[in-house]
Amino acid sequence: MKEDFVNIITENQGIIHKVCSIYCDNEEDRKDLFQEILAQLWKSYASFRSESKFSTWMYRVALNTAITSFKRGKRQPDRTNLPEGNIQIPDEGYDMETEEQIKHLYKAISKLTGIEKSIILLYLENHPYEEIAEITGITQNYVRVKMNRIKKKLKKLMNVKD
Amino acid sequence: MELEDLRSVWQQASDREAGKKALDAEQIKNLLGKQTRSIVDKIDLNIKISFGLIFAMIVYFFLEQYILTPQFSTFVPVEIPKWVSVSNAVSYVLVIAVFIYFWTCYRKIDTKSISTKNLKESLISLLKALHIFNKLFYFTLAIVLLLIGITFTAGMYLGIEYNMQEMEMELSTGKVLLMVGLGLAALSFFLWVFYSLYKWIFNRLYGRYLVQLEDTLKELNETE
Repeated sequence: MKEDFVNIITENQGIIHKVCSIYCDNEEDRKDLFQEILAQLWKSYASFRSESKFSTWMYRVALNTAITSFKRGKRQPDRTNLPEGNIQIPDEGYDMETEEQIKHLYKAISKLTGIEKSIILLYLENHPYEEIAEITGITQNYVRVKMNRIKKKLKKLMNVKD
Repeated sequence: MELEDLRSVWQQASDREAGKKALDAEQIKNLLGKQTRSIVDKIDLNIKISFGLIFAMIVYFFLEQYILTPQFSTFVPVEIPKWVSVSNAVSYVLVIAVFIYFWTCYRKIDTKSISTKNLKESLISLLKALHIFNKLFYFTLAIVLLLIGITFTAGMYLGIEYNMQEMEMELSTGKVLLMVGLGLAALSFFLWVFYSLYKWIFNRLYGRYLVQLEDTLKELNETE
């Protein structure tokens, strides 16, 4: 079973990296959270039933772990500001304006609350509202309401120049 | 540019970023080999320690009531007052009731599945576990102190009564009341000290975390 788990995680580890980079502000915390999420996934793997997609299940465990994660005096489960150094965008194929906007988007996301980060991450990763509702435990209608608020908040944050 | 338009650029950027940090199967296996204790594991351990303490108290009460006290009464020719036996019995029932109540509450939470529940249920379960841990400690502390208070007062009473008998003197009601009062004062003092100490430690450890979890849950419940 461990072999299967390692293989499936190796294939889907991008999910954990994305969650870690959105919730952690430094490399050390990111590594710790990665390990914590990995351990939780392994502990819960036996209970995974194919009722939902593996990636949905993985997002659920990873986001739960990130939001409820506890580190005394260090990482907080809610608001985390990503430093400039954490923002790395593809260095090719985009015009200056798009590059700037992606940078602003990363920066704006770092100012959101833990719940808002979860919702925007799932939205940006193309998850339908139904799945976002399933992962967060709120109704689809409320996901829509929340999403509209986040969009407005992000727009406002992205328009604020440094 | 609208957020919808940034989606594909975001995905490429985040995929590339994740790709840079990708680990191979061997590295993942190594990470799995390291012991990682999550907050749920830590709370679970603390609660189990508290249950262990209560269980130890039950064993102690049992030994004290049925083995130690009958043996003690053969050495000291003083009759153990009824109120001591009644208080002991009440404490005994109380400690068992607390044990059963909290054990049932805790089992209902199912901490093993906290991380696989949806975020809202997960937060509710985690908050319940933290509140149970907090309350469990207060109850355990109250019972321990009650026991100390009873033992202390009973010990004082029996000691003085024994000496009075030796000196062929009478123990007045006023003196009995004074002893009970002293016992209660000592109990209240210890209760205050331990309560304040524990509250301080708990707030230092989990206070901010608890508030953050509550805020997060409140945010999820906002317009539901």
